[in-house]
Amino acid sequence: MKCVKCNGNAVINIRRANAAFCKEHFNEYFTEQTLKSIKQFRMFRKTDKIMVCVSGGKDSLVLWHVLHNLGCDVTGMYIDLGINGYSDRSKEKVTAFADKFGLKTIIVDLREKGYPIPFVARRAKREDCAVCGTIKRYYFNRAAYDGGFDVVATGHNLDDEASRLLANIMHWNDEYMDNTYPVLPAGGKMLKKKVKPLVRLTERETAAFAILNGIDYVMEECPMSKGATSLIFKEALSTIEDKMAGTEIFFYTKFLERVKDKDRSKTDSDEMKICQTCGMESFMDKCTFCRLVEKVK
Amino acid sequence: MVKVEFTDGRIEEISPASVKDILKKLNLKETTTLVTRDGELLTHDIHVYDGQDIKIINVVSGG
Repeated sequence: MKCVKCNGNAVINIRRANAAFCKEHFNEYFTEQTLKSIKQFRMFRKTDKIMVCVSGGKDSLVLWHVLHNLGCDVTGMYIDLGINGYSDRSKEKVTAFADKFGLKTIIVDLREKGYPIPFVARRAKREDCAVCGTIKRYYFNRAAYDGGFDVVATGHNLDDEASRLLANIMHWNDEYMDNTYPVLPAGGKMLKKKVKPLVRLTERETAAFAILNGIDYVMEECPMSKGATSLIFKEALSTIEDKMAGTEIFFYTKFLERVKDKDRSKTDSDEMKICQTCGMESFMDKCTFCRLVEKVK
Repeated sequence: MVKVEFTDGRIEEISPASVKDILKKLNLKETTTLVTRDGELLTHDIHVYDGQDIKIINVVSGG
């Protein structure tokens, strides 16, 4: 198979784009697709201070790498979830990556804080993934606010967003559909704008970018995510995509076209209160995070 | 035979064939996998010969 740009030997074929690329032109394609999303959805300006949430997985490390190469002021924020073995290995990938490319990092260690996910989930009698979501959201918001960042970037890709959209449609969760938009506006005075620059690229493409550019990521899945429903929707979409290349991006981009004129400028600042325990903004007198960790004290 | 190593460390042996046919024989999708030989990515038309080792990387992550 030959590269569509230079006719050299291709290293990857992308059926939905009816194209194959050599390493150089795949990197170019990948960066162009990322830039296209950043510009189309006005994610941030070149001078903005960006915090990228990193897990040690391929998508977040690749995003960090691409934003750094684009000359952005970007800092990686990693949360050690306190999952024995898995967290140690993923932290190792993040720190090795940051050292290799000389990148700025913020690390929050939940074991040091006294809130490792398995412990909190057990004590609070809640699902691991629900507890993880609450705690991660809190520390990402907290770090972005404390660090004076303008925007928070996550490595969500086309497969993540299209499968989440499919799940929301299948459950008719109209109120959550907007969460699959590539930009989520700032909320109140403390919650920063969130952006997903990789929404035009699939997991296969981010994995290929990682392999081609020497980005060593944690390939194993979080042991607590086994049986996650998101995987069922991804499986369904990939079955369709495998038979009908291009269906997934059509599905997602047509959704974006339908909701592009929705007013996202309104924030909930008037309804926000200050959490009496931690001082972060919340819809209640005590935020969800503080109410959760109170149960483990 | 071709030695196939999976992301989870499993190893299988399979008859030489193109990447596309190997994935088909293993009942894997093109959209959710990448295949490498000696660390290099392979496109689906590449033939893998007897005695060669390949890795099949599952690219799907949950969460």
